Amino acid sequence: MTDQYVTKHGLIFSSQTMLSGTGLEFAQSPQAVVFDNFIRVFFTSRYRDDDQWVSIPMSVDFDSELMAPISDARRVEFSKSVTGGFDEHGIFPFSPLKVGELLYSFTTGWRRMKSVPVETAIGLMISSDGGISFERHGTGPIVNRSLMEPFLVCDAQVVDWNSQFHMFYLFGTKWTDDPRTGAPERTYKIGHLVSDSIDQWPIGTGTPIIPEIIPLEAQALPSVSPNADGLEMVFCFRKSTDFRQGGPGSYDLGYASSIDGESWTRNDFFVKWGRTKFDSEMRCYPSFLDLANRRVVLYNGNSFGRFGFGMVSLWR
Amino acid sequence: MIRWNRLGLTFDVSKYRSSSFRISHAQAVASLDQGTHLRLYYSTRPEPDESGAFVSYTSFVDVLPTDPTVVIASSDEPVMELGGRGTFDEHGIYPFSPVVFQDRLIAFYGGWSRPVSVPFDVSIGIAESFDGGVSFERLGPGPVLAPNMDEPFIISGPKVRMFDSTLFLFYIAGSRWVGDPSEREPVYRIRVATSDDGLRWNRLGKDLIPCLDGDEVQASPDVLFSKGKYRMFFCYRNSVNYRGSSGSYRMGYAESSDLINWVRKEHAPVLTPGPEGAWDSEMIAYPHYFETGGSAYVAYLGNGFGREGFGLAKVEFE
Repeated sequence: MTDQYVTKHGLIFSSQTMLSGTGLEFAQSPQAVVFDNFIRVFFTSRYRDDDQWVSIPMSVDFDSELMAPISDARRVEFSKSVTGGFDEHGIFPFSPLKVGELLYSFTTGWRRMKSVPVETAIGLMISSDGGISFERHGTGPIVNRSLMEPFLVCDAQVVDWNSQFHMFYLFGTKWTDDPRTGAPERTYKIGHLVSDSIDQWPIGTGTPIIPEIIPLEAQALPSVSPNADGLEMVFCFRKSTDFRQGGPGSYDLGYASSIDGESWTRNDFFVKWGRTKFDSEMRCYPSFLDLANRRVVLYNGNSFGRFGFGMVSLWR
Repeated sequence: MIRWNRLGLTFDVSKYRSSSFRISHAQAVASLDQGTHLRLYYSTRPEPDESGAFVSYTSFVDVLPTDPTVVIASSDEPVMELGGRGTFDEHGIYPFSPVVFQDRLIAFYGGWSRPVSVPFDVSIGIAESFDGGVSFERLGPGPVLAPNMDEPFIISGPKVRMFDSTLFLFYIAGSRWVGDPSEREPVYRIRVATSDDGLRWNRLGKDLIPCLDGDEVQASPDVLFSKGKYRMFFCYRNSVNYRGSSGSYRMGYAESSDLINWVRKEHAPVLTPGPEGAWDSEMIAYPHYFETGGSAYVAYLGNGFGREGFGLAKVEFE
């Protein structure tokens, strides 16, 4: 992986252009599904409600080479949350997985709390129309906080590998007040669960699988894909506090590989890529996508993806 | 046939005030037979905060095994501290249910948190005592039973029992919130889960007790075995308009031969509210059955959901 030929395409979806007139901003955590004649990219946008952002899942279609959008951006359709439900205040991210004729999505639901800004949990939705509309699988989450994982269970992505479903996700370890702003900030780490069924998952163990390289590192958005030797992962990482303005400690892309899914070797070679205007201050919320001749990394740049998402091709 | 003999308000919390944790309420009694005394755990509250919100702590009182109306000792401390910031039990430890399991004294408890859109949420935690039940330590910072796909919120009211070396956890699961945004009330129903180790639970996944109407709220599933059958005392009420009026908590009763399939006995002679002016004239809530000194009792809460304390009645099955 590290010595592959790389092309940086920069921004391929501009939210200012594609979401103009909708009242929506941001196009976060792009995650794509390949169909016969097009590629459907799911992402999350936000609207303003009562002085707070609410995140909603969206999709847009691209040509099969991911050169340009061939559809408008549209909201993903699904039923509203119940009152008091785990995703009452938004969904981000939205992680699709094609299994046969169905498209599943692992969602992260947000709900606002009083003593901390938010709590999250992982839900499951199912689509039989290629991802235009989804049915909720149950009214509550399929993965939630548990004995050793006290809060902020989120960012699930599932890969079907070696005849089992592998979920890579986050669990929160700490809430810390930012010394400069006093605002509570989150620390989370990447975890791993294995199951024979897509909706029943074992209890998390609170064991981080990716070693940290900075103190109180917050890791996010793991995206895992198989390769010839096992699995590889792209994710993002930052300091726990003072990371919102860009500069050292703000989000950058990490990389790790594993032969068994349990034990991972970290090698953040992505950090050596040159930066462009799109990602001059931060790089975050990545996902892998396999095309015929290359593996692609879709990701967000500055301002946590406010302005759209971009792409890097890793040629085989 | 069930016979009752009321013994009145036997634990008046106002006589045991402690400003740090115990000003009002003594709710959801759970008993632990410790030989020389019977320990009765209950949940209590300090003064509410500026917005009127309460937290709950669990404490206990020791009573005579031969006469549980007689208090012989009272705990000066809560059995556990509240959870840390952002945890499921940051705002309350209530109710509390101890059990001796594989020579360990463990307890399951309701942990309370505060969402913005509804008044509260609850998940169930697990703790262990290493000092004979005076204090308990969490086995982990998170819950052992939390909302899942079919139980979206309020996983609470744990009452754990051991039958044939399997742990049975009777609990309540929320199904929906009703009412106006400023006055949200939850609807919850009684369910059961089983476990061989206390950590991994199989939920049956359906309500145990048929409802009398679609709005019914059920709580306090208190299961016992007596005279050849499993029996459950519980309480039920309307989902709205239930505070101190005709829709408020009443005692319910059901029977089972297998702990899974329950027949509700709507006309069983349960304990009914006391006469006008009595401490239990408006409601009978949160029953807990225990046997001691050759007799059987039910501890329960009266008016105000146990704001004043708890009381006892002697009970006999025929």
